Amino acid sequence: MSLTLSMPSSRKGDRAAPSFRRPPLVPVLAALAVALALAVLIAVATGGVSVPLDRSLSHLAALIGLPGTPLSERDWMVLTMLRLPRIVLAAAVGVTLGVAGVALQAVFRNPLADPGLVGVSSGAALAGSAAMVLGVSGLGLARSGLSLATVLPLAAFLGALAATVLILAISRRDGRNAPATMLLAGIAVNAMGGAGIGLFSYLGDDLALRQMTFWMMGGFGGSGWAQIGPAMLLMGLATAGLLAGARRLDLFAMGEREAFLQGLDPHRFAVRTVLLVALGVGAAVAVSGLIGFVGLIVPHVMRILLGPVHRRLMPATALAAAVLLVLADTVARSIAAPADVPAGLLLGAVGGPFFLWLLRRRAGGLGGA
Amino acid sequence: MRRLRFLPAAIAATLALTAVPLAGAAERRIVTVGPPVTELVYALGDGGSVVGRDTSSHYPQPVSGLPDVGYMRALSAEGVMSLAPTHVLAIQGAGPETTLDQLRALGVTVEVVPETPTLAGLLDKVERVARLLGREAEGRRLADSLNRDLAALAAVAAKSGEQDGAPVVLGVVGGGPGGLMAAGSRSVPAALIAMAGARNALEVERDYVPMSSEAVLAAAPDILLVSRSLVDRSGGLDPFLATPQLALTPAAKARRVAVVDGALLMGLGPRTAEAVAELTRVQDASSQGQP
Repeated sequence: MSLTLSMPSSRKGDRAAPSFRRPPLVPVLAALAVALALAVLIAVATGGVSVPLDRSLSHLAALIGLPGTPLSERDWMVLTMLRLPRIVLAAAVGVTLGVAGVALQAVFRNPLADPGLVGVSSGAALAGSAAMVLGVSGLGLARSGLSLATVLPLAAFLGALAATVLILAISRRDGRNAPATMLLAGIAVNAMGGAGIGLFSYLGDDLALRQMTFWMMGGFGGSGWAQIGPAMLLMGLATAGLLAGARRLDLFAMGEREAFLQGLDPHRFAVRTVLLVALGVGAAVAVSGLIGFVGLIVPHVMRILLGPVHRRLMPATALAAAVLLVLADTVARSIAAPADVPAGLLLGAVGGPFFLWLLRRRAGGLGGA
Repeated sequence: MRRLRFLPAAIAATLALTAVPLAGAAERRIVTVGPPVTELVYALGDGGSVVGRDTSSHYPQPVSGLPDVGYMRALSAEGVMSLAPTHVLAIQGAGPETTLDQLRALGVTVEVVPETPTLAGLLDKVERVARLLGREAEGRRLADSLNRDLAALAAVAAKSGEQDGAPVVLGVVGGGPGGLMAAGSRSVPAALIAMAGARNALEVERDYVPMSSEAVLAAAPDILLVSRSLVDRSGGLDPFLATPQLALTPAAKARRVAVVDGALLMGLGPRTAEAVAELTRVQDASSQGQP
C-alpha cells in the first residue's frame, strides 16, 4: 500500500522546506478571507426574493444611525430568517468538512481519506435513514413529544459516533490503533452502512424513501437558527479542537517514531483526532445531509498551493471550503428558483470532473504537494 | 360502454360551472403543493388566485405555465416566498416541516390537507379545501357530483361483476430489474380499484411494495392499472406489456390495461372519477368481449 508514500515531502525537514517557492501564508489567508466576505455578500444579495445589496447595506446603515432607509419587514425577515441561516450553515459545514478532511488525511497518511470514505458519514446517514423510515414512534419516542426534525439530527450524530467507536474498537490491537487498519475498518463500516441504508430504503414507504433520497443528496435548505444552533456549536468545538492539533499533526506526519521522540503519543493523538472528526462531521451531516468531495478536493488544492504543513494548510482549507460551499449554495438556490437544487448534487456534478481534470493535469498523481 | 358516455361530459360541465372566479379572490395568492390540492383549488373556481405549484402538478392546463416551487417534499422557503403568497395549500407529506414552519413564521397561512385514500377521505379533502377558500357551496356541489359519478360507476361495476366476478387488478407504479413496484392496500391505486368494484392483486398493508416476477404471475391480474408516464417511459404499451415481469399475466395477454394520468394515481382529487371510469371501461369491455 502507498499509505506512507503518499505524503513524501512531509517526511523530513519541512522546516527547511523550500518555503520560498510557496506563497507566504498571511497574504493567502487574507485573500481567502476577502473571497469569503465577497462570497457572503453575493449570497446575501442573491435569492428568490429580490433584496438588492444596496438596500440591505442601506438598512445596516440605518441600524447604526447613519443615513439610510430600512428594509420592509418582510424583506428583513426573509434575509434574517431564511437566507442568513443558510449562508452561515454552508460556511460552517465547509469549514468543518475541510478541516476534518485535512485531519483525516494526516492521521491516515493518505490523501484519499475523506469523512465519506472512512465510515463516519455513512454511519450518520444510516442512523438518519432509520429515523426517517421508522419515524419518531418507531424509535420508541412516541411519547417524548419530539418531532422528526429534532430526532433526525440527533440520530445522525449518534450514528457518526457509533461508526467511529466501532472503527476504533475493531482496529485496536495491543492498546493501539494502527492508521492503516483504521482506514480499512472504515471502508468496511462504510459498506455495512450502505447495506443498512439499502435495507431501510427497501422497508420504507414512498414518503420516507423520497425524504431519504433528498436528505442524502445534501443541501442547506429548510434550516432556521433553531435547527442549526446546536449543530453549529458541535461543529465549532470539533473544528477548534482539530485546528489546535495542527502542530501535532505535523509531528505525526514525520512518522510515529519521530513523533514519539518529540513527546507525542501518536496512537492517543490519532484516536483523539478521529473522535473530533466524528463530532464535527456527525453534526454537519445531521443538518445538511451528505456533502461530498469538499473534504477531499479543497485540501488537495490547498496542498498544491501551500504545501503540506498543517499549520498553513488547515486555516487556508477552512476558509476555501467555506467559500466553495457558500457559493455552491447560492447557485443551488437560484439556478432553478423558485425550486431548490440540492447543493450536494451540484458539488458532486462539478467537483468530480474538476478533480479528474486536476489529476490529469498534475500527472504526478494524488500525492499532493 | 353507452352507460359511461355521460361521465366525461358531466365532469367537464362541473369544472366549467365552477371555474368562474369570484370577486374578491384577487387579493389571495395561493401556492398549491400536490396535484390533488392544485386540482381541487381549480375545480372549486379559485384557479385565478394560484401563483405557484409543485413539480408534480400539471393539471388543469394553465397550471403548467405557473412557477414551479420544486418537489413537494423538498420545498425551499425562500423560493416559495419569492412568489409572495398569502396561502400555501399542501397535501400531506409536503415539506420539509422546517420549511413549512418558516413560512408560517413569515406570516403565510400554511394548510396541510390529509391524504386518506378512501372515498370518505376524498370528500373530506374537498370539504377542507372548500372551507379554506371560503367556497363551501362549490365544495358541496363538487362533492355531490363526485358522489353521483362514483355511484354510477359502482353500479356499472356491480353489473359486470355479477356476470364474471370481481376482476383482479394490479396497480403498477414502477418497473425494476427482476420485478416491479406494485400498489398495496394503503395506496391510492388500491382505492381506485375498490371504487371500480374490483379486487386489488396485492393485499399487503403497505403503500407500494416491490414484487418479484413470480409473485406477479401468482397474483394473475386480469387488468393492469398504470400511469401514462410509466407506459411512455417503456416506449409504448406493447413494449411495456412485453416486459418479462408482465408478459405472462392474463392482463398482458389480453391487453387489458387501464392507462391513466400519473397524477390520478398519486392522490384522490376532483378527477378521481375519470380514473375509476377508465378502469370500469376496461372491465366492461373485457366482460362484453367474452362469451
